[in-house]
Amino acid sequence: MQSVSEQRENQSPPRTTDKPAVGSVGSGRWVLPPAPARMQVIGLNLYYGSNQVLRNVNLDIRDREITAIIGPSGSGKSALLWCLNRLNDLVPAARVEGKVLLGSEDIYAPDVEVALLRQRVGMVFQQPNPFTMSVFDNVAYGPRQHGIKDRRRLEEIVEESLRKAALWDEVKDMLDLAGTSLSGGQQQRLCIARLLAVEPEVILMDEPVSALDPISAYKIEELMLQLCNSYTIVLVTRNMFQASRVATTTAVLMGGEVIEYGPTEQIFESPRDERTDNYIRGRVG
Amino acid sequence: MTAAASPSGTGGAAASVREQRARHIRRQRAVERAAIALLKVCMVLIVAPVGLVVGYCLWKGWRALSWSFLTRPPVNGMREGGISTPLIGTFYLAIGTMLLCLPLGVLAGIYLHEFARPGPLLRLIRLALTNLAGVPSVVYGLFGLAVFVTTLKFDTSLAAGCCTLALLALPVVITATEEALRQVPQDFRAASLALGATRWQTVRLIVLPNALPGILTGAVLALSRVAGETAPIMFVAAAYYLPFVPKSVFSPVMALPYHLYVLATQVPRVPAHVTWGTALVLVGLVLVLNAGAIVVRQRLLSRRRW
Repeated sequence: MQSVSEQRENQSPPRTTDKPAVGSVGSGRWVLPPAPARMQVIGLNLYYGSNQVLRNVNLDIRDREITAIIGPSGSGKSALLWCLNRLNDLVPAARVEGKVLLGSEDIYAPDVEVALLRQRVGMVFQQPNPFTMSVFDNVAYGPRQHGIKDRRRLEEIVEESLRKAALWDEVKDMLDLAGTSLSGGQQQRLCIARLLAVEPEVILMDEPVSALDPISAYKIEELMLQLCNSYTIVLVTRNMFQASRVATTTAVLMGGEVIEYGPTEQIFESPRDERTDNYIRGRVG
Repeated sequence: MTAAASPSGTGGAAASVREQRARHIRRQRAVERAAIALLKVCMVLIVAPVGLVVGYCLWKGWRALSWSFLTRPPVNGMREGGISTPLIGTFYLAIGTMLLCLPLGVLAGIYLHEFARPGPLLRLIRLALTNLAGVPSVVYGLFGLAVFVTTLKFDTSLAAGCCTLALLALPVVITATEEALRQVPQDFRAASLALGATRWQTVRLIVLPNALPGILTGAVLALSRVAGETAPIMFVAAAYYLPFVPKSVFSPVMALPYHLYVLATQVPRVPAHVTWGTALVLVGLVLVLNAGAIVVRQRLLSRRRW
């Protein structure tokens, strides 16, 4: 089994989409064929009660690339992200219009089983939020809930997931320790491992490093670049430099509207919208 | 003020502004000291009666305390002997009540907080619960008499007492459960759901374990309240005098609070130390339960970090 850390040593992560998936490197016992995980947001309006949070959002989230969503606080970035795996269902007064396609399925269609959807579209939160249980149980939580009981199989999944999240070497001797006793950066990688264990196709990241110190943040960023070989990643961030470092495509959200959307270099070097220009130069927001 | 702030102001003006501010802050400090003193007095006024109650029970009742006082039934018209039968009766009542109201209350609380849709109906239910908590306990007694004793033909019995007390404790348990669930960060639920777990899996495996300290604390507080209630059990469960413990749940039972009421008002020439000794045991029981709640809470809380 080739570990992520080995791969990382001899290369800067490749950015093309036709590389073999990291998920297929393993033993083959627990691997889904990489599905094309393109997501499309079509004419999305989101209301919290009478307050419209998103206005006619259209986005094309491309398979196995990092798409960044940037914008000032309160622009609806997180709300948009939460629409992509229907975590917005938790907000009692939330109402959604428009379509979000995963592959060719509308995730808001009435016959969609949200639990299955969220297994395919997972999320990493701003504040690292490992469960108050051991490192092992944290990673095994998803697979267990999906019916895997065999201890050996769970051990394999836990090891492989922790390796993919570049955390195995640091925690392999303390899998029984509480997940909450790890450092902040380790906790966030534990949350990523926990997510990888359910084999998602899309990973939503809601400002995943904003609560972390710069070194931990750097490790997570590196990990993102690694993961986007196998997973489609949507990254919400207020840190524009982070977006410019990792994202292939960037969307700029302001007041609930996408004011600019395109290749990251273009957004940062020759924005078409004056508001984008002001924002990335730090004149607004 | 503007003089002090402006670089062109003269030194004299700045000094006078500083003088003015110093006087002002001295006054404010005096006000602060007075306010804190007032708060302290209120605190003492509240804590002192508790100390006095326990202290007075100890002073008047310590002579009665002995192993045989706890293990022998009352004899000689309850003027001598011990309090074993009422003590055990109260124990049975408390256990039975908890067996009834804990599962019901905790499950109802979980439904209300985790699954019920917010709306007018939910507000109505919450209002009903608040009102239920405010109903005088003697009314529960009357209700128990009408429903459990008469209609359901439990007679005056342990079962009728447990049911009545369970009704009384339900709002406490439900409210405590909801409060404990509210304390669990929403992020935990979101994380579990985002992994594709169902809401029930999330509640069972993530939310409940984290809410357990709060739920247990509420349960023990309800328990200590139940152990001390007199009015509800007077009509439905308590026996005036029984030399033995009940043989079935449909037998009447002696209870410590009611026994105390009887000793204090119904039996002539009871030695003071017997009455006060009984009171001391009752107060001690409630204090021990409450202290237990705090210990359990601290032990469970020390294991979690967020």
